[in-house]
Amino acid sequence: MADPLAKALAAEHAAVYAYGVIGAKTTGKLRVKATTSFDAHRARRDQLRALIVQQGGRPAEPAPTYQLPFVVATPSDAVRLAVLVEQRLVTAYLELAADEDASVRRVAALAAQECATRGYGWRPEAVAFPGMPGQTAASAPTDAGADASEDADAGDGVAETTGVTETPVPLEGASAGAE
Amino acid sequence: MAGLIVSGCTSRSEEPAAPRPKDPQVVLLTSLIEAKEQMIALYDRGALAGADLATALGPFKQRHAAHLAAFKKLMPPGESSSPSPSPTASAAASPVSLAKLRDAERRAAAGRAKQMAHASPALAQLLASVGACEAVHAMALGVLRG
Repeated sequence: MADPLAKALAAEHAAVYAYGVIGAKTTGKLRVKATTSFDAHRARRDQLRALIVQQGGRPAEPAPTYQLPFVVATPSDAVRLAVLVEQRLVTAYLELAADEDASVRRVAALAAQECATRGYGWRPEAVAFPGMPGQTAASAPTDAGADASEDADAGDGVAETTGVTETPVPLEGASAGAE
Repeated sequence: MAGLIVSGCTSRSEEPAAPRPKDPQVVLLTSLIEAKEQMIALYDRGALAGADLATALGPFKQRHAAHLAAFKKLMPPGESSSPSPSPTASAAASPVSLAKLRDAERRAAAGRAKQMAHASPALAQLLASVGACEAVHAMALGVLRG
């Protein structure tokens, strides 16, 4: 079974990639939010790297490219991707929350809260158990009528199945936004 | 699965042959359940501030009720899950402000990491998720208008 710490790192690598794309497809306030998120995930990524090194492991490098779950062409696509990325990370951090090292659990707890609130910042929908299977925001009631929503055929799948995944083959088009 | 929890307060002298020491997991769950019940009661009081607000707060309260049910489910059979007398009836009298609710959510979320330190793996995961929900609540309440 894959190490939850390694899985969380992989998810953060994917998030950094995704936010590169998201930043490229947005402007104005959304762009600022994307940049802030990008920085936050880079910081978490570095923290996870350090934790892995500290435990005597070797942190994995990011994949050369990532498969996005759908084509990101518009700002609304970008928002949808950001929501998915954050959901997927919350799931990764829940897994890490069961780690036997209490300090790792702590990191996982804080990161899960951060990702959940950041996801809410992209799309204001709340669920009772963020990151748990079957808890897609699409099926949940919306609390606040706020900004960044779009038509919601979004997440019918569970977070794990719809996230950004590594792909061994370079992906044409997806490279446009990376960096 | 640390065993280093019970901060056994050194009993003075004659402790009646203590009934089997409480499972720390049960102790933790008991306090979690109690705190969740208080949170739900607080939402009941928040809802007193107006019908619109009561409607808006409904989903929040429902999610807390879901957390409560999840905690109770982890309680081993035979343990009384809820010894506390329901505080709702008496305390429900005075309304509380959104700010107070928000503060309660913030504090609940902030306390999760510490509670997770000695929780079983399954409970630790549940607490991480519940804490994430509470953090989102704190944010969402900031957008609500009283």
